[in-house]
Amino acid sequence: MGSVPTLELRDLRAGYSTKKGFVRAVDGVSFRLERGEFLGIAGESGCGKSTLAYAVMRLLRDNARIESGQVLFNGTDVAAMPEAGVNALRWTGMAMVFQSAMSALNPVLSVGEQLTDAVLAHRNATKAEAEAMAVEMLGLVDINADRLRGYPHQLSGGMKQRVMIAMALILKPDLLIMDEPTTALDVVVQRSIIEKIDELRRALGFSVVFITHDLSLLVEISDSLAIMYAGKICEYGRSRALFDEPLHPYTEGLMGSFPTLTGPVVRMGGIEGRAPDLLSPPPGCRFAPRCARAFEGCGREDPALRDIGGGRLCACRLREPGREGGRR
Amino acid sequence: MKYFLRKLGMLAFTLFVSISINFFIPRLMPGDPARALLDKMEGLPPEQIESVRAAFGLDTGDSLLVQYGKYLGNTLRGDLGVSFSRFPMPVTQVLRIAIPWTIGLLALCMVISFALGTAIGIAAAWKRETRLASFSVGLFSFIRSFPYFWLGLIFIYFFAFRLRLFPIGGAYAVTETRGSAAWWLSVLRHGTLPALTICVSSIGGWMLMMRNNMINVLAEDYITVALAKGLPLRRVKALYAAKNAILPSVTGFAMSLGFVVGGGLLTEMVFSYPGVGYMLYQAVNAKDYPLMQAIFLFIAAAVLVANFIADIAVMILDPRVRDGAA
Ligand SMILES: Nc1ncnc2c1ncn2[C@@H]1O[C@H](COP(=O)(O)OP(=O)(O)OP(=O)(O)O)[C@@H](O)[C@H]1O
Ligand SMILES: [Mg+2]
Repeated sequence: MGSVPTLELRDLRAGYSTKKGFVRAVDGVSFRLERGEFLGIAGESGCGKSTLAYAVMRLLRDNARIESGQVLFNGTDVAAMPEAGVNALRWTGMAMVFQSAMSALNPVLSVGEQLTDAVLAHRNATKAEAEAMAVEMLGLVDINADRLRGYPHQLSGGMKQRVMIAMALILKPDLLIMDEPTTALDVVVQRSIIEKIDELRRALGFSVVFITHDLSLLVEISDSLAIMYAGKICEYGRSRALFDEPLHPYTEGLMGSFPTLTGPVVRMGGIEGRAPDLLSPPPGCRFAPRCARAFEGCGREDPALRDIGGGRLCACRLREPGREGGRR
Repeated sequence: MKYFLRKLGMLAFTLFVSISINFFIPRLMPGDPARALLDKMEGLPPEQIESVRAAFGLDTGDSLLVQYGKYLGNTLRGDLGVSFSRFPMPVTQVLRIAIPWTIGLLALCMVISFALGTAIGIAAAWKRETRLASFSVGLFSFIRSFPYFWLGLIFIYFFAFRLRLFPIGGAYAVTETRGSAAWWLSVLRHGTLPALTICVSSIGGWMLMMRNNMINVLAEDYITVALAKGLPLRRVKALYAAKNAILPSVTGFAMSLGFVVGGGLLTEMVFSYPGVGYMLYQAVNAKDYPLMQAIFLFIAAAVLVANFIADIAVMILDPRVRDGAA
């Protein structure tokens, strides 16, 4: 049986209709996120991470939409829900911290009003009760309660992002999605924010989907990792194992190191070449054109994300059974 | 508070500048005021003409600077002189007859068309994929291109001259007793066409401006956040989108005020509506300098004060301005 996971994606496809055609930014993504689990999703800019997050929250607007697949939140399919149902679920069940700390707060409403309006919209609370909750949440992210009367422009970038986190957690959601919450911040602030989230997760018990393009941020904190390339997950596994032994050539490149058979680890400045155009992705493995270890079949056949034991998934023909370089 | 004081200082300074300009401009215009007045007084005994000259300071031989000093002092005391054309009425008294008509017509129409245009703009942006929204954009772009006087003449021709639904000019029926119900009704009937002219020709601008602001704001991240929070859409629309989108509109309102007032005054002339605009037209024809000066002063002061009010409105709406940040 097993318990119902907080979030389960089944073959999710989503993207943008453009004049030139449909840009499928999320192309058949599936994963499970257990209660209290911290999942990191990493990949280069433009690989579809934000689109994935928006699809889960059903926030795709205008030319964007979910094409097919299921987004099971606590067992119910959010993708198939009527809008009113999704709206009731937003912030109470799942909340999100956005990529752009600087522009995510409304400049003309006070911090307090922006923290409490979600409470007032979803709970039967008085204004005073909502404010008490806001004060408590601000305390959790180490922000003085007198900031409630202040406005966003009076806060630093790091403070804005912590206010955002307080806002996201105020209704104690089961799932917190964080879309590159620290990109706009300096390294020290980045660390403190990530540690804060981990601490809060342990205290409050919510699950986290943490999106980043910088894998190093997640080393110590995430339970599991999904590596995304051109709209697909190319590798998935427990963080520790994935860090110790990356299986997909793209993961290796993303980690900035390339293990050679002999000699020391050589630092690499990222991966050569550009990510493919999602409007018309290359046939076969999407990473093949940039892969140093591609062989002749890679450009024809798209490798499936397959279980290769030990809770690890990898979409690379190098790891297919019987293949040289495959896992013993 | 600092912002408020700065704006107040600015208002005082600009008022002073416009009072000064007001003094010099008419004196640079062709035509001799003394001559004009004297022509009017043809046939009067010379002693009386002499006394008028003395009263107006026309022949005093004072230098321009001394005249300017006297003028400033008088203006501050609210003494704007005596009207040439309605001698010996003081111009402030002449103005007092015209101002209520202009405030009633122009100010009311401007506020209505700003409020209505802004509301329609909000709706058109919020539901921008709908056909009605695209249609309204086309419609308002079209009517925005009508000049005031042209629209006024069209209205007069069709609704007053051809269909005889409304009076051709004036502000009230002279046959009714002032203040009676029938008189008020006639005021409404006389005001309809000029009001329509002003509203129709200015509403398109406000609507399109607000719609554009709104569409820009709707792409902002804080809108996505508001939607992610599952807030009621009414709240997202009003406090997240519209409250931000209206800021440039209010500033724009202040900036285009002079233009709108100009159009409104022109409308008064077209409809012979006895407000400040029509009075200005009469004053220019009569070369009534004191009256012209007073009217210019009134217009300048009205625009400046309205500007000040718009600045204060922005201050109330935008905390960044309050802190002097933006
Ligand atoms: N509105 C849009 N219309 C068309 N294509 C879009 C639109 N928004 C995003 N895309 C495309 O979808 C793809 C995925 O975008 P997405 O924002 O999900 O990437 P991301 O992984 O979050 O990148 P980043 O790390 O830079 O935030 C990109 O290739 C982008 O070009
Ligand atoms: Mg992104």
